[in-house]
Parts: sequence; structure tokens; C-alpha cells
Amino acid sequence: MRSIAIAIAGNPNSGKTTLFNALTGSHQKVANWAGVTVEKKSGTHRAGDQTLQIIDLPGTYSLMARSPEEILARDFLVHERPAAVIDVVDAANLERNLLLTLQLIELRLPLIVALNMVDVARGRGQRIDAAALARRLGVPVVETVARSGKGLAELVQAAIACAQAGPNGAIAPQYGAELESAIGRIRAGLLEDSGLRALTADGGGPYPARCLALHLLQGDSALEARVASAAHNGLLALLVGQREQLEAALGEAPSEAVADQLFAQASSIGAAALDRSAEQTRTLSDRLDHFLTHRWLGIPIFLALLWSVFQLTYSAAKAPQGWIDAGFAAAAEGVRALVPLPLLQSLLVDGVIAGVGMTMTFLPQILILFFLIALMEDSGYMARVAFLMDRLMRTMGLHGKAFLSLFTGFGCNVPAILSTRTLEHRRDRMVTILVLPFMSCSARYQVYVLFCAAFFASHAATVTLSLYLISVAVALGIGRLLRRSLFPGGGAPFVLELPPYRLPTLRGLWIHTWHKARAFVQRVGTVILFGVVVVWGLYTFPRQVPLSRDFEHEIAALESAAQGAAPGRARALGRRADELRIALQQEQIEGRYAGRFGKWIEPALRPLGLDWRIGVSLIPGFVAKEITVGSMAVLYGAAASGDQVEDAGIHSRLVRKLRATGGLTPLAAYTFLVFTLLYIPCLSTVGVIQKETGSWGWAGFSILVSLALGYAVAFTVYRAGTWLGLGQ
Amino acid sequence: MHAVPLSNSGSPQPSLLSLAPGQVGTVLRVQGGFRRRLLEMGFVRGTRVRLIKSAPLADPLELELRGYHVALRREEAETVLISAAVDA
Repeated sequence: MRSIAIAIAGNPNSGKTTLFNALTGSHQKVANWAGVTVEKKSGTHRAGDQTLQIIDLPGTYSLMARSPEEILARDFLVHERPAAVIDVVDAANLERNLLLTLQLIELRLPLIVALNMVDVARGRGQRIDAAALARRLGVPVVETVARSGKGLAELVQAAIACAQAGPNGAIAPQYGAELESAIGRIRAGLLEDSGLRALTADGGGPYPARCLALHLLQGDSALEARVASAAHNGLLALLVGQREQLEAALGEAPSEAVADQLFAQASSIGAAALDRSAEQTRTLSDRLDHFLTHRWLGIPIFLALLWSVFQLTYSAAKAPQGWIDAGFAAAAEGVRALVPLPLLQSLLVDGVIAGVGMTMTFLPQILILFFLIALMEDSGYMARVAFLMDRLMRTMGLHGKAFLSLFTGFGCNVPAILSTRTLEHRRDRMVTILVLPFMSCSARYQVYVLFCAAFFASHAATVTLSLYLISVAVALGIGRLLRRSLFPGGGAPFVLELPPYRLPTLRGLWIHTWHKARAFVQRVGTVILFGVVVVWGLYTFPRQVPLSRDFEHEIAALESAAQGAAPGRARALGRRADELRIALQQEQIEGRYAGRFGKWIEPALRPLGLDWRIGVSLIPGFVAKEITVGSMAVLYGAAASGDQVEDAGIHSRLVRKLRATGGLTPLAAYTFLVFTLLYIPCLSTVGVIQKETGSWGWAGFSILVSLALGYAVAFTVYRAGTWLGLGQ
Repeated sequence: MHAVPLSNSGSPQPSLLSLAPGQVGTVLRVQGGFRRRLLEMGFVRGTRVRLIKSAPLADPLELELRGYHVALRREEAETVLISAAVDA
């Protein structure tokens, strides 16, 4: 059995990922390309006795090495030389897709065109003659519909045959007399130079000489650096000379003349294969866009959709959340029965199970939220959101494309910061990275869920939406400030394809959601478990705390008195005993490390209407925001064995405890949510900021700004609310 | 919102900015530093470009060319010079 490597290349929105998912199914893994943070997806496909190793290259419009994605795709194809390349071409968008096809032909690799989404093209009344296309390109063309799996078996067979037959492509694209003669001269120069010859296929290297000459002529800075570093001055001089000569002769830079020529050929090939006579001018997608990007309706519809996403996330997650909750409560009971050592029992029940269990109850919400985000992305709506929001984003100093990163930030700040790599200008990137920690991630969302259940049960979606609006307002405001002060100057231009709306495939949505959910569970198992255990330790030690009175004795006395008393009197005595129990817990917590720390910072929290217990839960929130909730479960004793509440769920018990003994007014609770939203990026986020900006200075800057700003905004909210009479 | 000129007053040639929604222009030339990317997206000489609409805040513009839709900001749209606009 042999394994052959097949790369999938193609334009963004060509259905490349759907094709990859259809070929590899669940046999795929996602990693990063070495040295950069663009996702590298690979997987395997079995066809008869052969195993195909399939690599999904980043979607690009061109191979001219302008963006990290283009550099990656080209370097992979040139240096790894896969056994065959599948070029996914959107049949409904033939001409533009063929530009990349022609560039791929230049690389002289075994190439197959997957003419994808032929059903969509046909639906629009376009008829494409695949055989004519194959003849003109000199490579096999297979019609596919990746979402239904049509044509995939033929595609795989063609790829295997192609890998065995070797490089194809009957025609090399032609660029006109002037360009061709320059290409020829540079090619000859390359072959004469002993060092550079080794780079070319003629010298046993990876690059076809003509293609290397063409790429150098177009001013590929990465390649040129490689040539310059080898001190091949003769060739550099030749290159510069040829470029100047061409520019004078053609009136435009060689790179532009090349693009012109490529498009002319793509157009003529496309026109020959495409029959547009029955084409519809107004598609369903256009009709949808009439409303979704409407001048007046577009933004209100977007806000309404965002609101429904949060509302749906709340309501649909309720039932599964209850099951998980009950599961962990049962586990706590089991541990209590099986583990005799009190300290170990406390560690497992009050630390691990209470903390991790609490966090895990949010898994249903995370799954639903990421599913809905994936739905918006895969359907094509996200591109419209960037279209709707670009002007606003730009007012605040951000690029419209950054909206996608900011939106990802609603899920998790870490991948969102990584995704800023798609921004071409450093200024755009830096501002987006520094603004991202203010985006309300799903970990913070868990705190909202808890507090909404405890304090704002009837207005949960409204309160949550208001927090998201504060989040966006702060992010955009800070962006504007940064743009004015530290990163002045213009940004990158904005070119964004608006693909037709598509019904996403369930498989694609599931793969997307599953990767996120798995990452979440892994975090619970590592960072969050560690954080929760540390919090438990702070809460449990020192074991002996000096008490103001002998609680145990008094409680015992009350209970024995209640034994023989009349029912009414017994109830009163029981209530008194419960009050003492709570007072005892409070005194114990106050004496422990967590309490001491909380007390120490309490003066700073008082102006926000918050007490020391809330303060204690903010500390571990730096490790990961989720632990705020987990540690509250510990602090408020939601899993304490002395609790006599009939309901066994940790979540519902914590909600009740917060309401009953939290000592918070709804205004203070809201202030706390605002503070939680802004006060500090979590540890992972700080790590990524350091990595992506290459400086601890920026990471520290981010921490300081968010602490100061979080405090200022929370203070303003609390004071304004009090002034408006909302403090009761 | 500040007013944005509908036509490119500094240049004798009309640009994509001179299109009204629904109108079509034929690309003559692309100027400026962002030329290459625009060329790769299909804005080459002779291409017919239709203005679909502008975004709710007037910027960017949604354009249709070669059977696909793309959003461009006004400042980039201004670099794409066209022959006179015609109603499609």
C-alpha cells in the first residue's frame, strides 16, 4: 500500500473546504503551518488499495506571494512538490478562478481541475463545456458538487492517474513579445549562474526555470531576498534592468502587465467553454441581499440576528445543561460515599468537581454558540457583516476585515488574535490585536449566564446584548484612540468578495463546532483544573481559623432543643441554626488566604458596590475567565456537604446562593459583569499578544489599559446607576 | 457623514464612483498602489463593472463583475477609471 500526497488549491469561496471535508471526513487534523499561524489542514482518503494524504492549502486568488496565505500555498507547491494538485474552480465564477489555474500550470505539477458547484452554475443558466475547458487548459477537468459528493470518485481516480502520469498542462500561458523576451533573458541568466541553477528544475531544484524567472520579474520580494543573499549581483542587475526597460515600453509595471495578460487568457478560455445565453440576471442570493444589506434594514437585521443568536443559545442549552449538572452532582455524591479522608474529599468535591463541573455545564452553550457562528460564516453572511460594518470600523481606526477577527473574539480571543494575520498592514494588525481583549469571549459569557439566571432572569438576552454592545463600543473607542496616538497613518485597502449565499453542509458545521468544543474541553482539563485547585487551596488553608464564638456548640444546642419542641418553635430554632451555619462559613472563609486577599483589595471594590468574595473570584479569572464561575461555586459553597437543599444541581444551587447570600443588588451585579467584561485579558490571551506582537511591552500595556479602563467604566456604571436610583 | 464627491473631479476620466446603482462602466485603467490586487480580482481593461449598491453608511460599494460580487471602498473605487457610465 502506498500513500500519495495531494494538495487542494483554489480561490476563497470556491468550495475548497467542503471538498476537503467530503474527501477526508473525520480523518483530518488541524495544525499551524510552521512558523506562521495560518491553519494547516490535512487528512487521509482511502481509494481502493491506495491512501491519499490530502493537504488543504489556504484559499488564495493568486500565487504572487503578497499575503502569508499566498506565500504558504506557493512555497508548499514549489518545495514539497505534491504528487498531484487539485485546483478547485467555482464553476459559477469561472474567469476569475482560472487566473489561479493558469498560475498553477506555470508550476509544472500534475494538475487536475475540479469544476465545482456545477449545480449552482446550471441553476443560474450557465452551461460549461468541461471537455472544451480541458482541451484549452491541457489538464483533466472533472465536474463536481462537493456538498453532495457528486463527481468525487472520478476526481480521485483522475488525481491518482495524474500523479502517475507526471506534470501536464499542454499550454504555458503566453505574455506577449516584450514580456516573453524578458522572461527568456532572466531564465538564461538563472541557468548560467551556478548557485541559482540549483534552484531550478534544470539544476535538480524545485522551481521550473521559466516560472522562477516569471516570479522574479514580477518583483517577488521573498524570492528576490533569496537571490540577493546568495550575492548573485549579476542577476539582480539584469532583473532591475529588465523591469525598467519593460516599464518604459509597456507603461506599466511587469507584474501588472502579467496580470493583464493572464486575465485576457482566462477570459478567452472561459468564454470558449462557457455558454451564458440562458443566464439569469437576478438570483435568489441577490434577492436576499436586497434585504440583508439594505441601506436602512441591513444593520437592524444584523443586530436582531445577533440578539437571536444569544437568545437561542440561552434557551436551547437549558435542558442539556441540567443533565450535565445532575451528572456532576451524582459524581460528588459518589466521591463523598467512597472517599473517607475529609481533606481529599473536600479537594475532589469542593475543588475539582464543583469547579470543573460548573465550567462543563457551559459546554452546551459553547457548542450552540460556535455552531451558530459557523452557520453565519459558512452561509456567506459574515462577508456581508464586514460589508455593513466597514465604514463604522474605519471610523474607529479598524479595517472592515478586522470585524471577522473581532467577531471570532466573541468565541475566544486567542484564535481571534491569531486570525489578525490576514490583515496586511502592521498598523491594522497591532490596533486589532490590542483591541481584541475587550471583545466579550465565550468564557465571560458564562459569567453573564450565571448572573443573568440569578439576578436578571426575565431580561437575560437584553442584559447580555447590552454587555456585548459595551464590549464593542469600548473596543472601537480604544481602536480609535490607538489609531490617533500610537499607530497613525492609513490602513490597507479593502477588497472583499461577497460570495452567493449557500446552505452550509451539516458536516462542515459539525467539524467546525467539534474542533472548538474539543479545545474547550481540553482547556477545562488543563488550565482550568489547575486554576480551580489553586483556588480551592486558597479557600481551604489555613485549616484552623480563629472564630468569634463556638458555633458548633451553639448549633448543636439549638438542634437538640428543637428535637423536643413544638413544631412552630422547632422551625424557628432550625432557622436560627441555619443562620449560625452561614455565619460560621463566612467567618471561616474570611480567615483563609482567599478571604485575606479579598479583604485586602476590598477597599478598591467598595466603590463598585462589590464585596471581598466577588473580589476573590476575580483573581483566578486572570488564569482563565471561566474559573471566575468555577471559583464562585467554591466560594459560595455550592457543593458544600452541609447544604440541606433538596435540589442536587450545582448550577441551580449557586444561582440560589448568589441571590440569597451574595449581598449584591442587581445594579452591583451588573457592575460586576461590566468589570468582568473589561478588567484583564486571560493568561492565554496575554501569551498570544506577546507572541504576535513580539513584545512583552505590548502584553503589559494591554493588561494595564484593561485594568484601568475596566475600573473606570464599572465605576461610572455603578455611580450613574446609583444616581438614577437603580441601586436598590 | 461627510459628503463624498460622486465624480472624480481631479481627473478627466470618470471612475467607478461616477456610477449610479444599476449602471455599468467599462474598465479603462487602474491607478494607484493597489493596482495589482485589483487586477487579480479581475478589474482589467475591458471588464464591465456594475454598481449594485453602497453599504448603509455609504461606504463601501458592492460591485458586480465577471459574474461575482465584490466590495470596494470609495477610495479604491476611485482608482478604477472607466469609460462613461451607461444604464444596464
